[in-house]
Amino acid sequence: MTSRPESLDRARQDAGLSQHDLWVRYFALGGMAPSLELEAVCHGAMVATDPDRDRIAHALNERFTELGRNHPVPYSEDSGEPHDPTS
Amino acid sequence: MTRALEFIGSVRVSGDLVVVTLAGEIDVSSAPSLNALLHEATAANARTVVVDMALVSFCDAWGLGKLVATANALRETGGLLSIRAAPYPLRRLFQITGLTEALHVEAATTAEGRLSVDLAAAARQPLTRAVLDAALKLVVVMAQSVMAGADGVSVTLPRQGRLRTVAASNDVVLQMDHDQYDTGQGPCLDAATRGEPFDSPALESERRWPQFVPRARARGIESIMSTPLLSADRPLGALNVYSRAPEALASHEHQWAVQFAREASNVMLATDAIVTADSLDTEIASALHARETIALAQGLVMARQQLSADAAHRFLIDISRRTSRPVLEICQALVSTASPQSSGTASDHQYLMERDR
Repeated sequence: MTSRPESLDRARQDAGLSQHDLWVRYFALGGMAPSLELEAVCHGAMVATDPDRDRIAHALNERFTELGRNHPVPYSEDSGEPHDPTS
Repeated sequence: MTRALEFIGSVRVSGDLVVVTLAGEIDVSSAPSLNALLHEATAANARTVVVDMALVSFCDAWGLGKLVATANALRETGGLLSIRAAPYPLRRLFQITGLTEALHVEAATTAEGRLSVDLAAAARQPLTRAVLDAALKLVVVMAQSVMAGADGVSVTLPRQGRLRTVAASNDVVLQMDHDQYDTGQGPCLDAATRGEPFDSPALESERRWPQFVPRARARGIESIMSTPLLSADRPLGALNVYSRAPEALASHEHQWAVQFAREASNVMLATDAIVTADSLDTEIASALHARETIALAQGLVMARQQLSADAAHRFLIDISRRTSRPVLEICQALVSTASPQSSGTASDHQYLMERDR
């Protein structure tokens, strides 16, 4: 798995979240981008700032935690490697 | 129905800059908190006070006055107050009241401009009822501020099968509306149910509504103008203007009333008049609450650890990752244990990592 931007949308689908669900979670984490921009970032059509990218990653990872899984979505500082808290 | 978000705020001093972050609704009930926050901000003797209003959903005339008074006091000592990230309805309020320059309201970025639309749209519904009520409150505040003869303005709408006041610029007009609902008569009821304007320029000689009029005069009201809110020709409700003086509501006020009634009607139509998406309201309201808590915790971490906003956010996310606990839970723990006495400490990390273990 790489940190290619389009993988964010795959992660969203994998996490069973709608675009709207993800936007609400991202917004709760302090995100300011409107939903269309978030969608564009998830599809790799736009590049997010690092803090915004981390909000999206964290919104997805918290969902994966709820599903009993680890944190597969990398953060900006992870330089492309998925974060595995058990490692 | 979703209650308005409580008002909260914080003050951060960093050298010559003070950042005041406000969230929720600003009205007279938030006076003690807002006064304390602005006092703390000006007492820091910084040259620039930035008021971040990104999470403010409503600001009434009292709140505007308070901001202007603070800006004036700062200017006298060579300082400057500037408003940052105000959502669209607030920027519109600053524009209409001519305060954009006095308050140095920063222009919106495209993203911020569209954010408030997004909040309202929230994917499915054009506007939720909470947003509708906030928009109507804005209409009554604007209406009162431009109508010279008006001592109060309210909006009446049917809710749960009865007419109710959903926005009022002060308690007297709220009481006036209730007097009409109690007696079952009055210009506001007639305008809202019959879809025609009902004006009474001098209550002293008014013969309609015999039970209501004495109550109105007992409260010091001498003239009333009720203008219907209309969808095509169907009445939706009424915009009511009250004055303590007879003949105070002239043709100028009539024109404004018609214009504001049209604006309120448009707001209503944008919500499909009766909004049923209560669950959506709850969802957005709880996201806003989470956001406030996280912002507060972020502010605490910034102050205690001397970190930038982004670094503080990373710090909180990092703890959440390491503990596999939601970042909101981490922030709630941090905020609930914060007290004015707690000093800058490097132990937040340790504490949060070990808590509940």
